[in-house]
Amino acid sequence: MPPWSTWSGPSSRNHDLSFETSTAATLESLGHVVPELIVTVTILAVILIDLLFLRGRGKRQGPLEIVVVLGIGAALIATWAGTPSGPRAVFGTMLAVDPFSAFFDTIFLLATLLFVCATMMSDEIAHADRPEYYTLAVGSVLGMMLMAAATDLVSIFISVEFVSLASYAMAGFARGDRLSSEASLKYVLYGSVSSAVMLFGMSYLYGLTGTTSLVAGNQVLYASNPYPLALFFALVLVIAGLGFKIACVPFHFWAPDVYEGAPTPVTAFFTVAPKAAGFALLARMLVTLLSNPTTGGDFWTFLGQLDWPLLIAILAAGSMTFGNLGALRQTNMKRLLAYSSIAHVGFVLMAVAALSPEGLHAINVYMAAYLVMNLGAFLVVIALRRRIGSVDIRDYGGLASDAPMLVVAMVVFLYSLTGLPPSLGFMGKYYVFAEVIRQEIWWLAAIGAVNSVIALYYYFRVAKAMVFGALGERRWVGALPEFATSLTVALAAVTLVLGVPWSGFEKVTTYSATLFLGR
Amino acid sequence: MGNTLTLMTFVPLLGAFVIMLLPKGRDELVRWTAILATALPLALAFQVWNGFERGTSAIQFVERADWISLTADMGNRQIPLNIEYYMGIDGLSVSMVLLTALLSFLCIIASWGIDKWVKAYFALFLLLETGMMGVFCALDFFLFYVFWEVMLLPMYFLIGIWGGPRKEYAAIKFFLYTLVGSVVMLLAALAMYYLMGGSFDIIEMARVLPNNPEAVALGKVLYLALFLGFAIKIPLFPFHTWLPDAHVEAPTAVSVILAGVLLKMGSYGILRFCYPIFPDATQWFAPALAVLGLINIIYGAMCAMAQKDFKKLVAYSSISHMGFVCLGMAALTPQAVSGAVMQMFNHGTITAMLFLLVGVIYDRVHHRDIERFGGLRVQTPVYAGVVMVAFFAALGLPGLSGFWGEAFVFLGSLPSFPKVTMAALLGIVLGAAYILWTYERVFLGPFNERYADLSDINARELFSLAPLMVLVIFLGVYPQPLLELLDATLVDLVRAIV
Repeated sequence: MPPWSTWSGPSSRNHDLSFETSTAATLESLGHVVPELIVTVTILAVILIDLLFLRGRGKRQGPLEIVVVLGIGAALIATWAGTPSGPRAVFGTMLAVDPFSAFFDTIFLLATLLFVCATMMSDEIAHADRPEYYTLAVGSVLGMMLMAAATDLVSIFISVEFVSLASYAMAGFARGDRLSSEASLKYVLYGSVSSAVMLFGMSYLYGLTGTTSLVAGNQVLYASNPYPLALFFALVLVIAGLGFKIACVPFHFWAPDVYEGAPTPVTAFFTVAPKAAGFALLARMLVTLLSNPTTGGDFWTFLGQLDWPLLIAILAAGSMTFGNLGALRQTNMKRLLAYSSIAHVGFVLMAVAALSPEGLHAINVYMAAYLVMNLGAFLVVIALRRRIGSVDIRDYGGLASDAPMLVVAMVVFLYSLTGLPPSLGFMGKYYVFAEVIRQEIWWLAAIGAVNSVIALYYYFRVAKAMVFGALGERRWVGALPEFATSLTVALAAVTLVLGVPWSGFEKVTTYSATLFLGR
Repeated sequence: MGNTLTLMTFVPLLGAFVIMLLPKGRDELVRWTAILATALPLALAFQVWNGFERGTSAIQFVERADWISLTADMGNRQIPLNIEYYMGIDGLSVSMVLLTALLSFLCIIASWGIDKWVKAYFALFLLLETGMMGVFCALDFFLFYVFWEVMLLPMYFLIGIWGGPRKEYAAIKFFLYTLVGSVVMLLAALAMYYLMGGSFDIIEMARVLPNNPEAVALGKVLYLALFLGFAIKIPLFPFHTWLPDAHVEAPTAVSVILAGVLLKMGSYGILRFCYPIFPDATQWFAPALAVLGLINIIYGAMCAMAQKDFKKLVAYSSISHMGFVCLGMAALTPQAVSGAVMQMFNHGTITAMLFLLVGVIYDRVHHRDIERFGGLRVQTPVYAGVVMVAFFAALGLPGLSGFWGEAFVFLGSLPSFPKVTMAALLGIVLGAAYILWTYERVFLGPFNERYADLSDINARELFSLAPLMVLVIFLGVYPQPLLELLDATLVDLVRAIV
């Protein structure tokens, strides 16, 4: 523990990072990151299979998908089997392995499995390109897992960039499609600016605390916090950088274009997994860096003088409102879901603004619900694109007669996205509202309520087009992918039914709100 | 009594599942499954009718089980989450449960002619019944909220797929209006949950919260938040515009459910939540509620008088009649509140008859323009006779069931709000005017030769109307069976407030 009884300026470097750099400690740490290691092996396996067996053949890539699914599945099992009983720091204080990171790892891995299904359904990614494509996707998952565990400015920045770089390339994977290339370029430009902004903020944090470790930084800030304004400024920059990554208003400009241009499976993946990682990182950073260490584990009081909850509440209100208003007029399904994801980010930010153990729990529930319902909706969009060759709502007329079960599944996802009971989406919304009400942030709750109603309108425009719309002059361009109906109906059933044995679900998510605080 | 209420609530849902699984093209089988799935709750409703103990305000047919019960361990702090599967009925809800079971069954019969997407229609209808039944039986706010919202989706599709020309607009309007109310209700429910220290139990809320200073301080806000949700459903004056649209576009059976049951959920909710849990706010708001009721009565009647569309006329008459319910509730005397609940039940049966009757004529001539009829009494004497019974019941003729609710409301409200009540009497006159005038235009006068081959009401239609007609006449002559169901509960409810 550094003796920060007197502030001697940022030039002072007399803190003790208590870094165990011995080989033994590193090897010991490796034993706690088995899921990450399995994912790493999967990346290598994909590359090897491509080099040894598939190079340039461009056929259906069955074995490739099997390897990815097996690898991700193994990582999932390792995550569940190895969920730590309590928080633990590994690699010094670079990473934290705790139920919180294990929960988010599960979300990323499940999202990846659905993403593989989505890719198999889609025809947007040429078969010859798929080895690289899967390499990047699995690579980004590794980055996300590190994001959810990072407790040091260095590991935070590296993992964020890890995810971003893979994402830039994935957005442009529909080769020859100008929209896709545009999406990729836009993503690179906005992404690098935001990274720079975040890094700039981090440099301030380092300057103020003299350490890159969040835990040590927290103790420094608690012992003496002479420049709250500077700290606030640094935080604003870091939050702005992360805001770009999770696409919250006012840092959302890139999202609709990128989401529209990217291949649909990639868009589906982007709206869920990296966002979840961003929220995991944001929540962990705020709690670890800013909560008052003396109040113990029971209730976080945050270091004074900084009204960052208000700042985040404003971002939340803005995201919900502008995301929903933007979605109102969209006719392109991908753009609509892009704007809707901005609105959902706003909902989750409500829970971040009310950050407490319950708020953290609400974030977890919401992200898990969002994973199922949003990917479910995207799977339907991808399957329908094969059938009608379009992602435009105006072309959805008459689908209720053609693919009734798929439409029923879509209605369930839309119902859940609106947040009506009994559905997973309602569970998420329930916990967010419950925490905001408990902390008596009435204005935010009211804005959230209004937004739920706006959301209903545009979600049910989609249902309306599918169910009430006339068939018209329809040209079917192909058949539905074989397993599209069964997969989406299964996901829809999960969306509806998982809310009934609520207790069981909640036990998992409550436990997952335990995170490493270094105390 | 075991699990009567659970069966009544979930047998329709089970029926909906069975219908979904039936093979394509077996429409008759689908219809009979639907009949069976609504007949069973109806049979159970008779059992409830028999077994319900009169003269007590106790909760009966109680079923309780933990649904979500756990104490989350967040560090040293324990976060309880208690949500119960808590079903039960008292004098307030029993008549509504009976009404729901009866109207759902009759509506399935009235929907026999539906031939577009038969499976989906009946599955959604049964899902709707589950939602309605659950709303009236649930005594846990969370559970109530789930059922309350579950109704929206089937209603949306029932109007939107099988409705009239502007069905899509009407369907989304209904959905949006109701959701505004229910989202605000959710926020209020959460606030009440924390005031209770972690419980959604409605009965317990009514016992604890009136004595909780924090709850009393927040009482007016919470009252209004809940009230908004319920007022939209009733619908009270500024929030009523969704109703005529929804009614005009909805298919007959859906209109029946909408007017017969759904509107009652609004007034039921006020009596179940606002009244016992926030007695102070109730007294504070009572004059405003009386005035809102009066506006509904007069404004609804005036609008009804101006309509040329038969169905829209009935829709506006519902708004007018629900105004009497509100006036009765606002008066806060046992007599008036009993009158209000009687009016809820009787209006449910009468308005169901009216919508079914409008459906009968619409199915034959495919328009509802009152001006284009005339002298139908000659051509369709039975139909004209049934309509006469329903019309007279609607205008509150003594000897028919519509009379008692209004009479009780007037007698009970006169001491509380003499001026408002006197003004509301004008509503009766207006009601008589638009109903008699409509009857004259449709059935009396010179016979319009265009309808020379119009057939009279058929056996199936008569079968769906007969039980309602019997009820209307029987309860008109002898209202005691209805009154004794609800009397004790409402007397206690009013005593707790004033």
